[in-house]
Amino acid sequence: MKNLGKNLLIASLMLLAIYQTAILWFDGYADKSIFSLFKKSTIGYNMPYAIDRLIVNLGDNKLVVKTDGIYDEEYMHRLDKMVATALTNGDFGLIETTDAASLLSRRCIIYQYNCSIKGSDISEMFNIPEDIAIQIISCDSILLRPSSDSGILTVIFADSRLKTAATFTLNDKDMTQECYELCGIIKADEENFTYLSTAQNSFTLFSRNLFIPVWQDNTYMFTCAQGYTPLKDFSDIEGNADIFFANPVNKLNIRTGDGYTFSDDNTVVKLQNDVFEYSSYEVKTGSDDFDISYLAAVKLLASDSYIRNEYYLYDYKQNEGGGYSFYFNYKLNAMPVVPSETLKKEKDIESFIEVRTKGGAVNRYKKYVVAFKDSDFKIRAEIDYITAIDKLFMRLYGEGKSESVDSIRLKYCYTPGTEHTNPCWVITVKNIDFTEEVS
Amino acid sequence: MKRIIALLSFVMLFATLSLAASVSVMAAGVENFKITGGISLDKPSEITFDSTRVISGTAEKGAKITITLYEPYTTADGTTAYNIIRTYSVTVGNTGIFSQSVSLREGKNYIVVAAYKDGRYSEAKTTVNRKNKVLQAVLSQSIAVPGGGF
Repeated sequence: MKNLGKNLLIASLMLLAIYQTAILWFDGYADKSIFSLFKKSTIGYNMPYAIDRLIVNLGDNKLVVKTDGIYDEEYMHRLDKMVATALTNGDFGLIETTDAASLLSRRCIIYQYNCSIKGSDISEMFNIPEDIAIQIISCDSILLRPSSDSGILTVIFADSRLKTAATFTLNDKDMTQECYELCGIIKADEENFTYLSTAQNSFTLFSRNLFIPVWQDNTYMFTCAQGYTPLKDFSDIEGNADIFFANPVNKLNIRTGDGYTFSDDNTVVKLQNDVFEYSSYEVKTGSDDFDISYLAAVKLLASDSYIRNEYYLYDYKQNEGGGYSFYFNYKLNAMPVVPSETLKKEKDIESFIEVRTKGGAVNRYKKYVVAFKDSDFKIRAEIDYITAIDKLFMRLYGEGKSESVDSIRLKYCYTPGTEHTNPCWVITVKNIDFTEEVS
Repeated sequence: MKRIIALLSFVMLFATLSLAASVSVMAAGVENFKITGGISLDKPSEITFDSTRVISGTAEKGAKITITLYEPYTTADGTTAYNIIRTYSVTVGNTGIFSQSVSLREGKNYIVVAAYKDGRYSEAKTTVNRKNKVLQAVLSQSIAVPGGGF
């Protein structure tokens, strides 16, 4: 009996070893090794560098909003662990038509993303079984809602545009209490203004729930932004290019007009008109799964030491033929920094950084080589969100007419050639962005 | 004689109808006036530790909204009187909404939100009692704090 057990164990280990060797032998399956599978199961905590804002709903219409410096905070790791635990051990449920006001009726913490993430992509990123993830059509926010009296933590994947939600309910008194206490720990970026929820105020003007800043009076001064290039000379340019080469010493370097081109057999890196562009012609046969693609993209961003600002996922799409395109913008002073429409057209970009993947690796990378810092210039906060929308409606429609507002945010919209960039209201109506000054 | 009585009746009827119409116009409030956030009208007063509140609501376009904070005090004869602390004014535009951040003093704040438009008037009022932050810290060490949302 003892020998039978031992023999079975030895046989199992031998089969495992043969299987592992076989799949590692074939290069295309390298990422499917057992070790990578173990690693994948721990990836599903969060999407790094994707959260636009972290919002704490304290109840009684009180909100704390954090934009900058979220990713590496201790509380984020604790919250991510709660999400992972609820997804693994919680009970799944669907809410077909959700009312934002009722979701916000209790204390909760909200991960807010700038774009909607498809359910199938959530499956891979958060390690949710596919049959459950398919029922989550998409989400643009994740709510963690503790109920301290019952010891139940509910994690909700909600889509504010589609007004749908999926829930994972976890019965865990300690974790619920911890989540409740974290609500009191997270402090606001800015003490000079508060936020309101349009859903909690029953404002029908807005097509979905929005969190909008409200300042107390007109004494608050916004700091303007200033663009600068982190590539001061040729050594910086070459240093930035080198991160894309397996063997930078062997690369060719050609001066082209007012730009540069670096290349080897498989890679071309160009700097032209303030746009840094990398293209790889090496065919990769790895997985095109969302999580593999996204992690390849953020890994490359993390290795680019010439990115000087905090960034976040602005949008993404799946490419025809496989792979994904990810779009990133920056954050400064608790506001997004985005390219203006003029800059987008001029440079043919959608965002400051675009990363394309295929076969589980980055095959295209495009970066507008400007970073941002505080300007010495400040402007007074004079135009609140209501006045901004009123002015826009007057401009677009004249007296007495209004339309549904899809989004309104304070942002820095950068256009090159300007000495400083003022924050402005970016208002989305019928999928078109309009801007209004704050001063 | 009958004609005189009929005439007098007609005049009285006309006067009554005119008076009723003017009373109904004066009694009519500002359209769509509603407080949607910042203060609770379900109860006559509430307690808070917040130093500011964002009072939000809806009203018809062109309505002038004033938010006045008063400090109530007791007079020598025992009645309650009010000192004005501060006033805020906004005019409702095409959006049909308003919101205003107001500063609360420590102690009782009697708040009146009034809307005016073309001789029509609506109002909402409540008292918000702001407590000292030090008290909040003391209370939170031992018991549940009011206004926690649960």
